[in-house]
Amino acid sequence: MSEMSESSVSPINFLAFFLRKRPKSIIILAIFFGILATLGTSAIFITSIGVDPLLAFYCLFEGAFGSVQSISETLVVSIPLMIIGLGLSVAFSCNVWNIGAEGQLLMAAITCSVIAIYFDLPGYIMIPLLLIIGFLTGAGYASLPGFLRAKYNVNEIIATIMLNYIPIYLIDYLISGPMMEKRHLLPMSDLIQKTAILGRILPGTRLHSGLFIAIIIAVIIYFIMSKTTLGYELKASGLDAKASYYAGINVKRNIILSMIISGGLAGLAGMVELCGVQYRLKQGISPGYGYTAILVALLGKCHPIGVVLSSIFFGGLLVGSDFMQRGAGVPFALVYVIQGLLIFYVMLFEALLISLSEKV
Amino acid sequence: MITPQLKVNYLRLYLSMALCKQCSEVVSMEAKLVASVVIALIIGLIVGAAVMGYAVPKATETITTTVTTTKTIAATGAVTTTVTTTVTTTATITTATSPPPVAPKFKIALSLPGSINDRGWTQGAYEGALKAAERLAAMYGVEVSKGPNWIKVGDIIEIAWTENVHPAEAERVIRDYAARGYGLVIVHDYPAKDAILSAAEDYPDIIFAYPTGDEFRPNVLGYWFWAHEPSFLAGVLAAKLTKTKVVGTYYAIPIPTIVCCVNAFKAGVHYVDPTIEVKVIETGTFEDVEKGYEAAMALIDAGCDVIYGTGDGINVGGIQAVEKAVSEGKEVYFIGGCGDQTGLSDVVVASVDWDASGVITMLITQYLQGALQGGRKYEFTMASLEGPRLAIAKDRVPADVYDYVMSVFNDILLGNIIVERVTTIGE
Repeated sequence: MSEMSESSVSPINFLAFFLRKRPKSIIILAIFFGILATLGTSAIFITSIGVDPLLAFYCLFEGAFGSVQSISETLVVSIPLMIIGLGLSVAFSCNVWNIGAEGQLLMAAITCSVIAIYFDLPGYIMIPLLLIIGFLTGAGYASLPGFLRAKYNVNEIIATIMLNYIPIYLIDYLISGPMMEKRHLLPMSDLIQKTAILGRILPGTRLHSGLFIAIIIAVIIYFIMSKTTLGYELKASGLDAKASYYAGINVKRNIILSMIISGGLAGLAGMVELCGVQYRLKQGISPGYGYTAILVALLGKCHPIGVVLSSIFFGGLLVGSDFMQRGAGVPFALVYVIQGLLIFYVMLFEALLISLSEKV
Repeated sequence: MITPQLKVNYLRLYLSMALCKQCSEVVSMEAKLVASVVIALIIGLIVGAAVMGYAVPKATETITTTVTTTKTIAATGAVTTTVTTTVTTTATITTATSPPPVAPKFKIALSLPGSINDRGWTQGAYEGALKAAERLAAMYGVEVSKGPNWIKVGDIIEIAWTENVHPAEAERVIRDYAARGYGLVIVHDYPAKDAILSAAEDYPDIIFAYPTGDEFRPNVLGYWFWAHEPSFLAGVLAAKLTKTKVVGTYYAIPIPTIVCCVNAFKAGVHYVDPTIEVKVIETGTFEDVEKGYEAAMALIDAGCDVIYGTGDGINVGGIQAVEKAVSEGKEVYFIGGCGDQTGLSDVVVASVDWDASGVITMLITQYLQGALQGGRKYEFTMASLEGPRLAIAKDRVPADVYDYVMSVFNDILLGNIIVERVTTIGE
């Protein structure tokens, strides 16, 4: 048995060798094992409340991808997640932690609704105008903490979290005060102009043309991040700010720029949600999309293709668990457990596999 | 484009990063230790899950059959004989958690804004569904079976519900029920109006109902609670009970259904004594117990000794506040709203019971008889069989006050007093 020193034959070493040869397989394996472990752990929770775990998972899938209806509902939820997640992936790869996408989304929804309700413009002016206004509002609102971080090194996480609360209560004030609907009955604004509505692309469902906007943005972000100097510099200053500065990269400019891109896209998501789904300014216009998108960007490993896939995955998770609640009687709160577990497990397995590949 | 200059820069960057690597070595040792512990935990959890799945006797059999049954439901009634036989054999094993085995003839869905034990608005609708199911079961002579979010009357009727549906997300729930072949969808939430009207356009064969409906379609109807009538009585009762000549009320959000109650309460107070002051607070939420507690406390501090609260969770908080005031020696009374809340505490002298359960029962039975029509509103007044009323705890109210309130009640029924429905805030 002295031949044990032939360690290169053992399966662990083979795996380590494989992982080093193909680094991209690490994340795919991590996601695969992560999903498996998440299902296993949540099965315990589901069984403990007395529901069949397999039935629950069946309902989860059926509700998310079971029919044309449910696929389109999944996509409706995925669209804002995708747009915000793409923006956040830029910020995160620049090591800027923008947790304020929710606030930037709501701020843009406010400015867009002002224009979409009170200005009667033709559609070919209205929609591009709203897209620009949405982007600029989100970008402007995000550039404030970005500027503070770049100039005075103020922690952008705290600044962006705090800025999330301002638009929430601003909307509360507006919809029960100056922007309240004409009948003065419900705390919400009037309907937006017909020309501002993003058309539905699949009859009988809620799927709207915001999907195209999201896909175009994904292509643009992919191009910027992997084909231009700008994307390279953004990533470099995220990897090591001091070394990048030494190498002559303008790190401060990149911090503000990544904040502007992520905030602007969060703002676009606000415009798309307003004009594609809700049609009015009201409470709950975003059920925490800004926060879920953080998970979307993390699971997608801040890569545009990964973000697109993970946004559809999270959209399916949200819509499917909604049906899981109806079909199997599983409480909706469980979906937050599943979301948290998933990110936890994927990051864990990724760390494990990376440390494994560095072994030997 | 990556220029040669940038390549040099990146080389420098890499060198400086290599310096940091020595420090990270120490960290990664600990990380590996933690990771190995965690991986052991994961394996344990997965094994645990597998064991739990198989330990339950015959659990796997039920799982496979339930999956097939859900498929047959989606196929709307096209149930083959082979499938039904497998279902009946396993029906004895399946617990109440699996979905109904055979597609029922009538499927009714409720989309509820709150939780089904909120002691008010949503609980009323939920109890209405239960009451309707029991009544129908007695009518048809079949058994009632109950799941976590559905109740079935034999194989004929299924009533399903979803709790905690936010108006901004109601459309998904409504459309999902409609797509799954539910014939009547009751959306027990006025703010979800946009969602109902949008879904009704795409599903013209399905009847949608919502409270205080003011916009109709051929397949959309509204059911109106005349809760302002018992609110007027509550005002009369409050005016008779108050000693400080200040009474208070709080409400959640200024929707017409609620605002008319507040206004009628004021009218009732001033009907007895125009000099009594009525203080009003808006809480912004139906559910938050703490907000209700704060609102009631603020009213008590302002000198109110009778408080009328309209809500679910906020009334639980309001009652706590009044109980605290009573324990401190103050003489304060509480009048509940939305459901019959007199059973919650001794300080609750009366409660405006909207009788949502009666109304929902009515809607469901009418639908089954084929009498329910879209495009109109169904009004439930204090005089109708099912409808809002004031539930008074007789032993907590002086006899003369009780008699006086009952005389006003009779006057309203006879039409001697007409309670106006005012849905705008302010004078």
